Amino acid sequence: MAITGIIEDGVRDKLLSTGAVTALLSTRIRVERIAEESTIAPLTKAKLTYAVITKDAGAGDIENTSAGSTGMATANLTVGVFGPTWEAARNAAVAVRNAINATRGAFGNEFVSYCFVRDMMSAGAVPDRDDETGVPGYGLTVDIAYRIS
Amino acid sequence: MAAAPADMGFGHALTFASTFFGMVRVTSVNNIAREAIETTHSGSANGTRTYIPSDLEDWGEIQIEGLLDHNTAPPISSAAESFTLTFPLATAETVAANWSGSAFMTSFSASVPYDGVCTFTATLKFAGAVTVTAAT
Repeated sequence: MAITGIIEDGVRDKLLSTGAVTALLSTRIRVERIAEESTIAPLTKAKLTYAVITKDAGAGDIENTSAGSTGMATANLTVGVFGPTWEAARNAAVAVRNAINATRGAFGNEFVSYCFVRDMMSAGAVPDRDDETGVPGYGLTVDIAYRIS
Repeated sequence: MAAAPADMGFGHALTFASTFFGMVRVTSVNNIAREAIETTHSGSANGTRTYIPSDLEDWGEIQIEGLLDHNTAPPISSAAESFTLTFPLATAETVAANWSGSAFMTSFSASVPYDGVCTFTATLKFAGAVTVTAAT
């Protein structure tokens, strides 16, 4: 399949092709645009470690010239990694970071010129009850440049 | 001619015969130039100055920013060495483009901040022409 420019799908494909990541997350790597009506099970209820890739608004852009698009774009992504324990979330976040930080090349169907994980921060509080509030997690902020055609 | 591909520099590499430049962050090629020789004369049309290009060209210099290796002396006393600036592979490319030639160091500066990574900047003067090899 040709390049689509839907970079969050590319990052997901890249993570799914990295053994160190799938060893911890299996295929539980989602992109945020999956609708609430999706048939995918609510993973937070299942006490499983999972990741959600979000394409952030702002900052990123498609590079253009007076003759049209360059076929290149930049974007910011956030990869939230959550789990039943802080350790599970942290270990999976580290695996995700190692899979994509400072890399270049094919991400699934997409082509990435650079991918830098800028930082890693706590993305939730220690939960004190069994619901989605305070699910242990880490957020990875990603600067990425990629082809859109 | 196809449109020039837009790309980022991450993944580019600079090899120098002395293997000095291992961890490069930014490579700049500066001041490729030739003179414009004025040929204006009393009969120049429309009162406009005229010029022709010089037969002599200067391929300028290459400036490098990278991470300092404090165990290795910069090759400031070395003769010109062969260098190759290799560009990162773009999509659908199998052999990377490169610029190659001969160059020698003309300046070197190191920065050792107490709260940051140790870096250097260096300038190499091209000893002659640069050969551009397109990617395939």
